[in-house]
Amino acid sequence: MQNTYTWIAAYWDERVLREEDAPQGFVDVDQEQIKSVALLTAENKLVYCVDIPEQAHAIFFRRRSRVLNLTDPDNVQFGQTVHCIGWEHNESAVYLFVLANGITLLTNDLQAI
Amino acid sequence: MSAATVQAQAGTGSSVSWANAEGGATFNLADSLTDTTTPISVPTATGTVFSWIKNFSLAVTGTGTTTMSNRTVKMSGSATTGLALFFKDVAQASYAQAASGNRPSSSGSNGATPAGYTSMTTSAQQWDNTSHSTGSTGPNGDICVVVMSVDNTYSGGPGTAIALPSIVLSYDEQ
Repeated sequence: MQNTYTWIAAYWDERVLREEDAPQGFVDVDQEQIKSVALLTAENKLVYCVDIPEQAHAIFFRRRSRVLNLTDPDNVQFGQTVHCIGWEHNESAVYLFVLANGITLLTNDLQAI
Repeated sequence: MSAATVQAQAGTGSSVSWANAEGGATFNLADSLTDTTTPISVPTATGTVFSWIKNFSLAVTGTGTTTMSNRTVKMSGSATTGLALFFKDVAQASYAQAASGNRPSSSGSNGATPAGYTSMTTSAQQWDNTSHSTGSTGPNGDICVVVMSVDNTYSGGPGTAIALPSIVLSYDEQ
C-alpha cells in the first residue's frame, strides 16, 4: 500500500528518523529527544511540520476508514486515509490533519475528522 | 514498518463466523447480512421498533507491523425521518449471536433509543480505543454492535431495499 505521505522525526541533536528506517513504526521515535515531526511526499518533499513542545508527546497516525454501504451493495466504497501529526501534553493537544487532497485542519479535537 | 490490510466484517452464527460486510448489510429480524424475508414492521401507531443486532468488527486480513486504536463509527449522512441507527461496544469474548432474545424491546414513543445503546450520528464516535497490534489476522479490538430502528414517523412505505446512510468504521493506525 503506497501512502501519500511518510513521516520524519527530527531530534534536537540534528539526527532524523525516517519512517522507512523505523521497523516498529512511530513507536521507535525517541520521545525524549524529538524536536519536530513532519510529513514527506513520495518525492521526499517536506510539506507539513509540527514543532513538539518540551515534555509533550509527539503524535503520528493514519486514520483509515472502511465503509458499509447500506444503500447500494454493488457500489463498494473505500474511505480515504487522513494523516495526522501533532502532540499531546496533559489536557492539551495539537493535531494537524492532512487529507489525501492536501486540505488540512489544525485542531485540538482528536475526532475532528 | 508495514501497514495492515483491514476489512469491515460482520459476525454471525453461534460460534462466530466473520465475513466481509463491505458489500452491504440488510437490517432485518435474522442473523444474516442479506436476508430479506424477515422484515421489520413499521409501527402503525406512535412507537419505535428495532431490528435484530448486527455484529461488526474491523478485521486484519493482511498483517502489518503497526497498531490500531481509536475505533469510531458514524453515518455517511442523515437517515430518512423515522429511521435511525444505534451502536454499542461489546468485547470479542462477549459476542452474542443475533436472536430475538437480544433484540431491543419496542418502545411506545417515537425516536426511542434502546437501553445500553448510543445514537449513531454523522460525527465519529468512539466505540473502542484499546491499542492492538496488527501482527495477527482476525478481528482487531471490540465488536461494534449496531441496531436499526423504525418509528411511526417513517412514511416511506414497505420494501426490501429501504436505503440507509452508509456506516463508516474508522481507526487510527500507527
